[in-house]
Amino acid sequence: MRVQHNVGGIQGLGPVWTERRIFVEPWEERIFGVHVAMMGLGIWRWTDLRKKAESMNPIDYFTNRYYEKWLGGIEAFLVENGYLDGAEIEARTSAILNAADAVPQVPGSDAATGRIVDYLWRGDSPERELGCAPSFQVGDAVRATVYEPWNHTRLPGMLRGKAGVVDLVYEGAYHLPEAGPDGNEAGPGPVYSVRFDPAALWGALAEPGHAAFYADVWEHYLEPA
Amino acid sequence: MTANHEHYHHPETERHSAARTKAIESLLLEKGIIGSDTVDKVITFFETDMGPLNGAKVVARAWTEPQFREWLLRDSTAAVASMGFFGAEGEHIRVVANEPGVHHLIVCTLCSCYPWPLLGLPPYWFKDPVYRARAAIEPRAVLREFGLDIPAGTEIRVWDSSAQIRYMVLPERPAGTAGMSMAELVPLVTPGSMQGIELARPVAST
Repeated sequence: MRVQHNVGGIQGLGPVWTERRIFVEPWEERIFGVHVAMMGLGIWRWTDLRKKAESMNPIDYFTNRYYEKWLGGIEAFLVENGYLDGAEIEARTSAILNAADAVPQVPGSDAATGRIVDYLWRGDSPERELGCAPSFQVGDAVRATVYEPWNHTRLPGMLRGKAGVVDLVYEGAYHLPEAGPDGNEAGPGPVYSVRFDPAALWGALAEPGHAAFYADVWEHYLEPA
Repeated sequence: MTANHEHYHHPETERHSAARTKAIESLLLEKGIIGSDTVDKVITFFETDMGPLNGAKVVARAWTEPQFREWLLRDSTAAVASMGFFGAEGEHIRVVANEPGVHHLIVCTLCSCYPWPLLGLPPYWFKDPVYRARAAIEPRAVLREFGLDIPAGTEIRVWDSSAQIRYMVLPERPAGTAGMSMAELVPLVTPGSMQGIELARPVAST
């Protein structure tokens, strides 16, 4: 069981961190820029970042800041996929720690920046052609399946085995990047907005006046209730 | 005492993270994978083209044009795209409207999904596991920690961005704003009011 798949509803964590800044250290903005570059160039996808975060030691997941997880995930991915060598990252990091100007000035790729900004404007929709009609309609009672994901999921853990009601059927189909041990992703399928009664999720712990918890759930995860 | 994230800033750790980030960026540059201006351009893009001012313009327009409001709530993606707001993490948008007796709150319990073209990048509270854990089970208590007391008679609906949709809240128009122009309304629409952690700013009383 991965805690990262079951964050919703964890108790005892103390007050919310109400920090409104996006970045709290200058380097965080730089690693975010590297991430967008990797997205725009097709080097990696959100799924790759999420797999890295979801496979972390759960204690580290809760104690590392958001962009610390990104930095670790990006570095590991670039090394594993042959873009960079672990030893050269170590050597360059040491050189920079010893002298901030230890970075050679080179022009890099002229074309890359345009492609990356184009990605930001264009987006990258997971919408695909709908292969078959959605099985459920608005008002249908559905139940999320009970299972343990292999390494990445889009079904929040607290919904497993819980029943809700279809509130909206989204048009089209959307790629579900969850894969099992064979590495094959589930692929395109209908997605529903499902309304869950907080009392069904949390029992007596449900807060008075918390009227509804909505989640967007792939048909892949649903069965009739 | 409970978790205080400020404790996680250790100068030595930050220095290493900064050096490691610079190492990765400079090596990608040397290998011709990115350009020397790539990261700066991305940062500038979010400062100028994708930020919460976009969402505020959408909200102010919905407050003043009933037909646009109806379109926005029926087909959010098309309505905001008509104002030029589209792109990465905004391919599929859904706007949910606060109304008397109903308050909406957005969360992403699995990660940090956020409508970039409307609100820019998510603030730290939204990305933090404590918010993600608690907004799901005790939204009223969470809102109180942001300084927002939701009356007992108002129901709270929580939206988890678990698939392709990115959510934005359409806050209620503050009292005393009748006759105000778009330009006067936009500054009342705070980023937090479009995420559900606060209300649109009341008009300053003179």
